[in-house]
Amino acid sequence: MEESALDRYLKEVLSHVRFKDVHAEIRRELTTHAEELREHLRSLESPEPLGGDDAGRIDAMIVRKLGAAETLGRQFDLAHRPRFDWTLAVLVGLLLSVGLSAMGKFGLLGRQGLWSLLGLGTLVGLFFVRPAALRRASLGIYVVTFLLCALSLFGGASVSAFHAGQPYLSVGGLQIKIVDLSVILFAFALAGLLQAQATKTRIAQAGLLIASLAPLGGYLFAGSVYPGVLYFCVTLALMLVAGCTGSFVRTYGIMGGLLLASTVQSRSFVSAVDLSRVAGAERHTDFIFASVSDSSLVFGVLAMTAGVGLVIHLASRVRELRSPYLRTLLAGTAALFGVEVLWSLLSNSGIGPVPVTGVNFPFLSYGGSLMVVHLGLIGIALGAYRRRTLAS
Amino acid sequence: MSVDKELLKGSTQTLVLTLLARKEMYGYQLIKELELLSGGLFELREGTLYPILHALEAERCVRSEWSSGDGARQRKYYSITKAGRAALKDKKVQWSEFRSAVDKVVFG
Repeated sequence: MEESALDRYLKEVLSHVRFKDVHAEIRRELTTHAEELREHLRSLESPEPLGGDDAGRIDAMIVRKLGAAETLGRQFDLAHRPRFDWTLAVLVGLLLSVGLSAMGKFGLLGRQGLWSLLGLGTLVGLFFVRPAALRRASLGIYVVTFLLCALSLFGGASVSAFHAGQPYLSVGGLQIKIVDLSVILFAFALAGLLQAQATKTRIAQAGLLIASLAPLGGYLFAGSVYPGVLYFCVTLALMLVAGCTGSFVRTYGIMGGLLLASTVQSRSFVSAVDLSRVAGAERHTDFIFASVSDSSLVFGVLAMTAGVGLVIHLASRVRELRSPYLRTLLAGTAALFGVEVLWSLLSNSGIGPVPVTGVNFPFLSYGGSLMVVHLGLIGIALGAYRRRTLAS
Repeated sequence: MSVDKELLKGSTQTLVLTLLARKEMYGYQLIKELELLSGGLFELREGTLYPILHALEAERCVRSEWSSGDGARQRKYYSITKAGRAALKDKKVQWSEFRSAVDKVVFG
């Protein structure tokens, strides 16, 4: 079939718009406008149905009224020029530098450097992935994460390992701290699943509530309090930003809160840190902030400033995004880093009475799989900012 | 009478925000309203309105939503935001000062 004058025109306009993700939206809007114009122009002419030549003539008139394709394309390009979130990149770069420098002192620079490189690869990959593809993967990610957690808890010696009572997943000699990792993966999946919760059927809403509560119950059942608190806070942030109904959020808050309260009540709390009494391995994981500050006050202040700055920056970006899904995803990421940074600072400085087990300071603490996933989240956040003008 | 397009260019954002401050509208409706209110004096190249709307949206001055208008046709409606109203207030002050300055120079 021969291409119409309008199709050729739209193609030329779009050829000047570098940001491809916005092409469909521009095409749809200009086509709708052309339809309005066509209707108007036809009403001015003969009431008889138009033949091929007349239709072509009207198309040409529409194109003329819309204006020069190149000028229009360049104006759209200017309105949608991709922007890179340099502030976020610098903050993460600072934290990574301080973290790697600390790992050098523990003799772990090579291994952590390798994981960081792998994480940067993930960051670049996720930066370019389209949000629609991420959202489509939500249910799959939820199911796979659930199965991996179950495998690591009940899978037997070949796939599960336990260190300090925490379940690890063994994959080809690698020990993956699946509990911490699963918080991020569950939150990522729920960001997609919770979209348009209010429009779903009652059965689907009940299913969503169960799907939101099940991981929390699992963490607390397995004795992982910190991942439970982290998951609870992040999921609440996701629900609030995703526009879930008040009754849904309240039900989740009350049930989750009761679960947490009943578990936390029986736990011991540590309110001060004496590094001389901290075991070697914990100095580069749970107590990394205290270790960094102990060796260099400048690095400690830098890490704290960059960590808090990262959280504030991510939270402030949320309202700049048009897509509800990307907003939810970014709010979840901000909440996740927020709890991690705040928890680490409080437990490492002895300011607040919080438990000190299993806490990771993002990009500072030693740990491969978490480094990869954290950098992957930054990739998604950078991609979300680049696509801030997209509605969906 | 027609006006020099360059004169219109600098004030299109103000005109668009002013119309959207009255009610939400879709692109075609905005153009027709602009023509009507200006007595046919402001006749834009119709396509050029959209990059202006998209730029205003990127600056969070307007927000948009696709919804069905009359019949089954889907239309993208634009509405002004709180930031847009603040920007409009600034633009109106700027315009008033600019107009007074031009009048002083041109008409003495």
